[in-house]
Amino acid sequence: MKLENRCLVPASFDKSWALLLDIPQIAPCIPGVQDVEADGENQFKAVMQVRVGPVRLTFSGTINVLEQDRQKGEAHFRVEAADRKVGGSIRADMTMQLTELSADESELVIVTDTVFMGKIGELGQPIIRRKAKSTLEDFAKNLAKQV
Amino acid sequence: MIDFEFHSPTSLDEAFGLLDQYGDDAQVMSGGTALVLMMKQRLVQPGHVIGLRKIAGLSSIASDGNGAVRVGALCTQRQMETDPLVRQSLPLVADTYSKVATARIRSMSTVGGGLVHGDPNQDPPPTLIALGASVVLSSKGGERVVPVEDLFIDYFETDVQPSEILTSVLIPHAPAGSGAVYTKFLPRTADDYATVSVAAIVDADENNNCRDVRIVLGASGVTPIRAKEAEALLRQRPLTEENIRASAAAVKDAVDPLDDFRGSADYKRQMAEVFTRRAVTQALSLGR
Repeated sequence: MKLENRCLVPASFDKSWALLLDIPQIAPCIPGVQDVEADGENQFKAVMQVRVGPVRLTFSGTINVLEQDRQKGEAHFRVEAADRKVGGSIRADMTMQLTELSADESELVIVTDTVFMGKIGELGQPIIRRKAKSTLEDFAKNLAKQV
Repeated sequence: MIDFEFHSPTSLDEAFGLLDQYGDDAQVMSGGTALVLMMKQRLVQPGHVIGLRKIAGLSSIASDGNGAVRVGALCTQRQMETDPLVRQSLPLVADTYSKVATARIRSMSTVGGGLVHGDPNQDPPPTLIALGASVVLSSKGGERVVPVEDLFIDYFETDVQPSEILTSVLIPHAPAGSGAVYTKFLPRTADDYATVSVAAIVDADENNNCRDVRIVLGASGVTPIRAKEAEALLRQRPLTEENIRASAAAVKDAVDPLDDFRGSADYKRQMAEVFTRRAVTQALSLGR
C-alpha cells in the first residue's frame, strides 16, 4: 500500500534535516511510538501501539536508516515490525524528501510503501489507509511542535 | 479460541473493581454477539472478560417522567422491538431495532453493547442521534451523560473510557406531529448491514414549512454522520420537492464512505443522496 504525505516544517533545512535523522528524537512524534533505542549502526529498536478499529496492535521491530543524502535532502528508511498477539507483521519502505522553502520553512514529503502480512492484512485496506493517513498527519503536527 | 478468565460480577461496584484490577487486559461483555466473533477471529484477545448479565437493574425500560424513555444497557435489541412502551412512545426506535440483523441476533445483542461496539454500520445510532438521545456512562467516580451524537469518535472507537460502563440510554420522544423514518439500503440480503442508512425526522407546520429536521446517516463513514448542512437547507423553509432535492444533494458532501464489498465509496455517496431524499419525503408524508 503506497501513501504520500506532505507537510510543512517550520524550520530551516539544516535544522529540519538534523531533527529528521535523529531517530530517538523524531520517532516518538509518531503517535503510539515508544521505547526507541539504538541497536547497532543506523539501526534502532522501537515499540508502537496502534488501534485499528476494534483491534489493538503492539508492534515491536526495527527502524533502519538505509541511505541519507544531505545534498538531495533525501533519506530512505526501512521499518520491520511484528505483533505477536494478534499475529501479523508489516514491512514499510519510507522515503523522506526535504526541500527548503525559506529560511524558516521546509517542505517534507514522505512516501511510504507498506506490505501487511498475516492477520493484520485482513483488517481491510480502506481502514488501514485512513489510519495511516491520520497517523502521518499527527506526525507532521508533532514534528512542527518539536522544531 | 484463546484462554481467558470469565468474571460475573453481581454489582456495578464489583465490575468497576475488576476493570480497575485488570486494566487493558479486561473487556466488558453484555450480549457478546460482536465480542465473541472478534475473539474467535483472534482480533481481540482479552485475558479477562467481565460479563454484565448478573448485574441487576440494567435491563428495564421505563418512562423517566420528563418526556424521555430510560432504557437499561442490558435490554436486548429484541426487547426494543417488542416492548409496548417503546412501540407506543418511540415507534421510530422500535422500527429501527426491528431492522437489526435477525431475530436470533436481536435476542442476544444488547442496546448498550451495540453502542459501545462503535460499528458505524449499525442501525440504531442514526435513529438515536436524530432523536437527541444520550447515554449514561458510569464509573467509580460517578456518572456522566453523553449525547449519542458525541459518543462515536472514530471507526469502532467511542468516548467510553476504560474505567466506564454504559449503564443506560435516555431517548426523548420525537416532536408531536412530526414524521420519522429509518430507511436502510439492502441490496444483498435482508439481514445484512446497510450499504447506506438514513434516519430522518421532519417537523412541519400546517403550511408545509419545516419547523425542524434531523438527518443522520449510517454506514456512510467511520462514525454515524449528522448531515447538518442538509438540515439547514430545509429548516424554516417550505418542504417542496425542489428544496428536499437540494438538501439531499448536500448529503454527498457530508458523508465519507469506505470502499467495501457492499459498494464503492462513490456508489455509497450517490446512494446516500437517494436514500436521504426518500427518507425525508417519507417522513414528511408520515407527519401531522
